[in-house]
Amino acid sequence: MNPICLCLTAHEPHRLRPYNYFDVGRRHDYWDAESMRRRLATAERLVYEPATAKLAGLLDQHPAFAFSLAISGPLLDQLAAFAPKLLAAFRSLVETGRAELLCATSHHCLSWAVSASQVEKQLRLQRERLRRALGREPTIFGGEGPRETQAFAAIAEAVGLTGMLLESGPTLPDDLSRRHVYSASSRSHFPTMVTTPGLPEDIARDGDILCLAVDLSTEGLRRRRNRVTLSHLEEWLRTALSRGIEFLTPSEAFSRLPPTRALPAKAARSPIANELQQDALDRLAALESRIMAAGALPMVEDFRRLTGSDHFGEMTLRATESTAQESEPETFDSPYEAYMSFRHVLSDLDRRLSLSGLQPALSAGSAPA
Amino acid sequence: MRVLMFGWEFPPQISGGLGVACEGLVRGLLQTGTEIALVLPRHPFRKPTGRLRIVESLVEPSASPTARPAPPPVKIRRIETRLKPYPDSGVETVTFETEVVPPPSTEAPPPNYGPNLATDVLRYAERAAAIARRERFDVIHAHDWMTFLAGLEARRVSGKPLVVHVHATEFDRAGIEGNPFVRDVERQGLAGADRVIAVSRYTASLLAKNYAVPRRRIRVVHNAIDPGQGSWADRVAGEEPLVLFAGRVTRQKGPDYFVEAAARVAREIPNVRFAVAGSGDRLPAMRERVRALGLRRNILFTGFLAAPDLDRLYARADVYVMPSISEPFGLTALEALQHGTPVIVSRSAGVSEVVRNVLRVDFGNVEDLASKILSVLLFAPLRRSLSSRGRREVLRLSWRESAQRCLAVYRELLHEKGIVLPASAPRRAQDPRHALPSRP
Repeated sequence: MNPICLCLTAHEPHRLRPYNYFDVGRRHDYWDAESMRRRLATAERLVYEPATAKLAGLLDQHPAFAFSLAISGPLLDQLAAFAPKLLAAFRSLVETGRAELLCATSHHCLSWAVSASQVEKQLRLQRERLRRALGREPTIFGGEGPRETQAFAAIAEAVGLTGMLLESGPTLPDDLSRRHVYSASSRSHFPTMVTTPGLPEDIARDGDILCLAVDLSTEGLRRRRNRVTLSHLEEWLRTALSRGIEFLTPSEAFSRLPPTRALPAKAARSPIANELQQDALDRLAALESRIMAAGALPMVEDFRRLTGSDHFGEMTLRATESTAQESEPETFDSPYEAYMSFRHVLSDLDRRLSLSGLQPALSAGSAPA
Repeated sequence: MRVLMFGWEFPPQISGGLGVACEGLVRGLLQTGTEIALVLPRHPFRKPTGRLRIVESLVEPSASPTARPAPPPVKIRRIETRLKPYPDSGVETVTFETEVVPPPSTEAPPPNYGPNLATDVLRYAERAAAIARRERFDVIHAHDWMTFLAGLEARRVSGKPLVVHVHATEFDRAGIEGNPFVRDVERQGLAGADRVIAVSRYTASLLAKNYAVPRRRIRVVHNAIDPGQGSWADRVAGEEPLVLFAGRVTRQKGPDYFVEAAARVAREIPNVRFAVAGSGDRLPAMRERVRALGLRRNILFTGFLAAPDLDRLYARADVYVMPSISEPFGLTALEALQHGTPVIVSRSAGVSEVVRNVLRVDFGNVEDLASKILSVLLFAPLRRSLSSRGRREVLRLSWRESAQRCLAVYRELLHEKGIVLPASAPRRAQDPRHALPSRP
């Protein structure tokens, strides 16, 4: 039976507040701290608190158990601000040495939206934040599939990372096997694995390795409605451990299994699927160089938060095609609302930039289109 | 299936959504092979069309509201019938304020809502018994309170099941200041009907809350629009942006919010134009407010507009706004979408249950309304998405589908009464749009 490389991901986005035309120039607090605090409190109670307790128990009882932990930058911010106890629980998991931290961009950015130098800066920033908050420095990238895997691998390598775990999101080809170690770079064999989401019924299958990603936030919350809780995860892990299946951290897997094939250089498709997303992305990208040149930290932080992939996810128009009732109430009751708030926030950011006197205003804001 | 249907408005005599909805449903039912005897107070067309026969019940000249002046309050003689819209007494004084101000233009259709509306309603009900004795039908279908008493009369003499169809309640038309006579008729109709059809889940909730109608007797059948209507054209570049309000200018339609939002929008885009197509009791106050805000150059009052003129306005407008306090359905939103015009609709509008590609506002939130108007005018990708997706979404709706749902309600009733018609009764639709709202 092939070994399992389990990656547990935890992410809570920076949430924009509804922001209208008349807020531009009037308020610069784009982020709904109250909503984030409330949602994190729910997630902590329902998922993270019991999950960390169960994982600590498993590490205690099974010396062979190991996994990796991808805590997103936005979640790390919120843990520090609202949930210090939970942060400590994650820290003690990491301190066992058998929960390997993964590094992603500091603001969960849609790498398609920003420049390579922005990705590099955000990777360095996140590595530093993780080291300070959780006491270990990550060496493996773990996050959403980038636009160009080879170029991305080069950035990760330049930052000092030694391998990648790519989420099998919509940007990776469907026919890519999830059971092998790839080389993402033709020059240095930068080792890469692609994760399979969820927990398969059938554990023992062919291949070099089984690399699984379980999204703690959604897994736990969604399953609660189906009356299946995190105990499913615990049960699955106990079954696998009792059958003697080997658990490896990504670093262990990479040191043992050399890359056997090359990862496709380009991802399958763009995560940007409609005109609203494209427009929001273009206008955000147009601000980057001016924001970085101005260098004012609050503006840089707001800009980076706006690069978060969740904002673009909320502008997905798929949901509007059907009138079926949605399961989860979100900040915005439609993709249109999400887009409008995003555009008005960009207008305000543009205005702040102009007022900072460094550059003349460009028409990235609410100029008639 | 043979239906005895009591209607009040029917094109070309319409003053709002009721007539349009009634026609749409009749057309949809005819497509399903249903036979309909449609009873109307008066109607200029007498030509029978296939399985539809139009039966007129108030045809003598004295019944015409334009023929006899009657200053309110109107003294009316109680009509000898078993219906008791009012406590027993020989003569009742009914203070009846018209819901719809007769259109100012002479080209406008003749009103069915003259000052003698209460008299007409009772007279119409009186005729219903005779019609019901004469006609052959399986089920009775009555549209809105004006026809409820007629429906009850037909049910009394025939013993056939009665479906009352609620397109609007007095609460939607007049809020809490509604007419007690109308409320009373509504209550009688809703209590005496075998099934109640509501045009939206929103209306179903109002019926359960304000009229204590048991939810098990309510079915939701959304309005629709037939494909092929509406012409879509690209906006002409360089034209002044146009924001449209169309509907009765009554308090419940939210004209006050429209004007206040217009003022905020005009401060940001000085050349913006607003069109108000409709008339009603709030029109003088609306004009006054427009003057006070200095918006006379921005706002055009067209008066009541019917199909071809209104269609041109839909097609020309950049955004259609429906800021209603209470809107059972809101057919005009579908008409606007059919013309590819982006729509901003109040959250308390039934239409938002069937279309998703619209922007929603809480009716009193003027700043949010103004912000959304500005967003549509300023953000071209938003405008294009709302326009193309909204139009596509509306093209999927059809009156035939609504008619099928009505048929299912008829069959359900006949089944309960042990009557089997040749066609097999389809199971009730499971579409979540047509589910009733759960209790709070």
